[in-house]
Amino acid sequence: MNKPVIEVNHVSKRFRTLVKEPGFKGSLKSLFSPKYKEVSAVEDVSFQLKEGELIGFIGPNGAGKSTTIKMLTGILFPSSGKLNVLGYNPQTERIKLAYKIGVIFGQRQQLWHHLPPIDTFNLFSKIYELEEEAYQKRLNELILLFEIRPYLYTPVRKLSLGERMRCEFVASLLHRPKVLFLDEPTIGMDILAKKSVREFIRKLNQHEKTTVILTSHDLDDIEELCPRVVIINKGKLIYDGTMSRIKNQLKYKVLELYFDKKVQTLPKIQHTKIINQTPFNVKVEIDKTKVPIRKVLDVYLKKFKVVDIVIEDPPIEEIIERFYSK
Amino acid sequence: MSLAKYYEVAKIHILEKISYSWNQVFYGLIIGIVLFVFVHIWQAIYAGKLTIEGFSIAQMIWYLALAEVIVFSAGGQGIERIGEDVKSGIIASSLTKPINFVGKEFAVLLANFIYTFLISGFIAFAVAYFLVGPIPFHFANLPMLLVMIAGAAVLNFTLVIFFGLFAFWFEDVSSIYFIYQKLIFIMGGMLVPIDVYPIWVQGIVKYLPFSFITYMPAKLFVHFEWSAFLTGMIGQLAWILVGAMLLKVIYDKGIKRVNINGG
Repeated sequence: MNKPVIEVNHVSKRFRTLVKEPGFKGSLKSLFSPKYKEVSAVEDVSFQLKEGELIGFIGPNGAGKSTTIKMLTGILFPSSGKLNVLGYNPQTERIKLAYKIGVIFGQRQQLWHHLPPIDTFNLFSKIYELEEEAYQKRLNELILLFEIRPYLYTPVRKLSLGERMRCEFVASLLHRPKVLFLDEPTIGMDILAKKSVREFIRKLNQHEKTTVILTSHDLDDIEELCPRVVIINKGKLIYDGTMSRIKNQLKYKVLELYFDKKVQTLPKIQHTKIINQTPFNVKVEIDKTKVPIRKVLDVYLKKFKVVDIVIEDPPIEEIIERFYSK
Repeated sequence: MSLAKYYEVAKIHILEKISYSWNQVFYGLIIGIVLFVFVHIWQAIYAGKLTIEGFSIAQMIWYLALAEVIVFSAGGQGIERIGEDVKSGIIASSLTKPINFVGKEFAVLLANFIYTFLISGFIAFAVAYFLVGPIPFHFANLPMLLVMIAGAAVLNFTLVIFFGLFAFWFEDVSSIYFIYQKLIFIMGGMLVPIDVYPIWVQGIVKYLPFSFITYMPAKLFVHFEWSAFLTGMIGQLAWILVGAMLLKVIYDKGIKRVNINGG
C-alpha cells in the first residue's frame, strides 16, 4: 500500500526555442541565421507519490506543471533525470503505461465532438481492450457516479462545459486507471460545475483509491481537495508539504471596485490594504479572517457610486512570494 | 496488438462523417461539375480524332472520373490535420492512449477513403455514364482493379502521414500539402494521363510514387493489361516499403520533439 507509485528523481526539461527579432528584417535574419535560446521549463524536480494520494500541483502559468505531467505520461522526454510511474519508464514504455493511467487535459477534448459520448466510451473500451461484460458493468457504475445518463445519447457539441467534463471523466476512468492526471479540469467552469467536479474527484479518490495528481490555478480546487501540495515556480520545486501550512496564505481576497467618477480620497479600513489605485478604480486586499468582505464593500458602497465589483484570489505568484518572505 | 481498436477508430470516424453526409454529397457534385467541364474541353481537343495516345474520349472521361475520385478520397488534407494536431498539442491526448499513433491515423484515413470513395464515386461514375456512356469493362478484372486501388490508398496514406509529421520541424505544413496535391495532379496524372507527356518526361514520372496513386489504377480501369497490373503492384509495394521506412524514421525522431504549448 505504501510503496511509491510515482517517482520523480532530479528531472529537468529544457526546450530550445527560436528567437526572432521584431519586424521584417528580424524575420529575414532568423530565416538565414536562426538564433535559439534554451528555456528551462523544469529544473531538478524530485518528488514521490504513494498509492491513493491526492496531491495538488500548483504554480503560476508557465511554471512547468503541464511539462511535468507530460513527462510523467511519457509524452515529453526529460533532458535529464529519471521518472518512474507504476514501475514503468514512461518514455520507453509509454503504451504499456497508458493501460494503467488516465489523463484529462481541461483544455483538450478527447470525446468525439459531433457524436454522443456513448460512441467515445465504446471506442475507448476497444482501445483499452476491455472485456465487453466488464466494460458494461464499469460503464453503468460510472454513469451513476457522474450522473450522466440524461446526455449519454446527446452529441457532445450540445453539452455544457460541466456536462462534457463529467463525460471526459467517465471516458478516462473506464479502464480503472491506477493513477489519474488532471490538468486544469475545472478551467472555464462556473462555480456549480466546479463544485460538482471536485465532488467527483473526491469520491473517486476515496472509493477507488485512485492516486490523483491535480493541477489547477484555481486555489479553491486545491484547498478543498488536496491534503498535500507541491508548488512549482519557474521550473523549480519550491514547496512540498501539507495544505494546512500554506492555507494561511489563502486568507486574502482582492476586491476591485469601479467608480462612476473620479475618486480622490479613499476610506481607511482595518485589515485591508490598497494595492492599486487609479482615479476610477481601486484594488483592495482584504484579510477575510479579520474583516468580512461584505463590511468593506458596505463602506465603499455608502461613500461612492460603484459601477462594477470584482472579487478574486490574489495571484499565485503573490501567495508564493508571501509564503517565502516570511 | 489487437486490430479491433483500429477497426473501431475507423468506425467512429465513419459515424462522424455520416453526421456530415451532405458535405460529402456536395463534394461529389463538384466532381460531377469538373467532369462536365472536362468532357467539353476534351471534346474540343479530340476534334474528330477517334483516339489520343490510345484513349477514346469515353475512356478518357472514365479515366479522369476514377483518377478524380481517388484523389478526392485520398485525404491529402490529412497532412494539414496531422500537422495541426502536432502543432496544437492535440497529439498529446492520443499519445496517452494505448494505441499506435501511426496506426490510428491510418485507420482514420482508411475510413475517410472508403466513405468518400463510395459517395463521390457513385456521383462521378453516374455523371461519366450520363455524359459519354459505358465503356467495355470485364468484371473478371474487378478484383485486380480493387487491389490496385487499395495499394494506391495505402501508398498515399503512408505519404500523407509522413508529410504531416514534418510539422515536428516546420511551423506550418499547409504548403507541403499544397505541393503534394499539385504533384498528384500533374505527376500522378490526375489532370491528363501520363501517356500524353513527352516520352522522356514519362520515363521519369512513371517511376515516381504519384503515378502509382492515380495513373496506374485509372489506366488499368479503362485499359486492362496484366503486365500493367504487375508493374503497378510491384511499384506500389516498393514505394510503400520505402515510405514506411521513412515514416518510421521521421516518427521516431519527431516524437522526441513533441513540444506542447502552454507547458
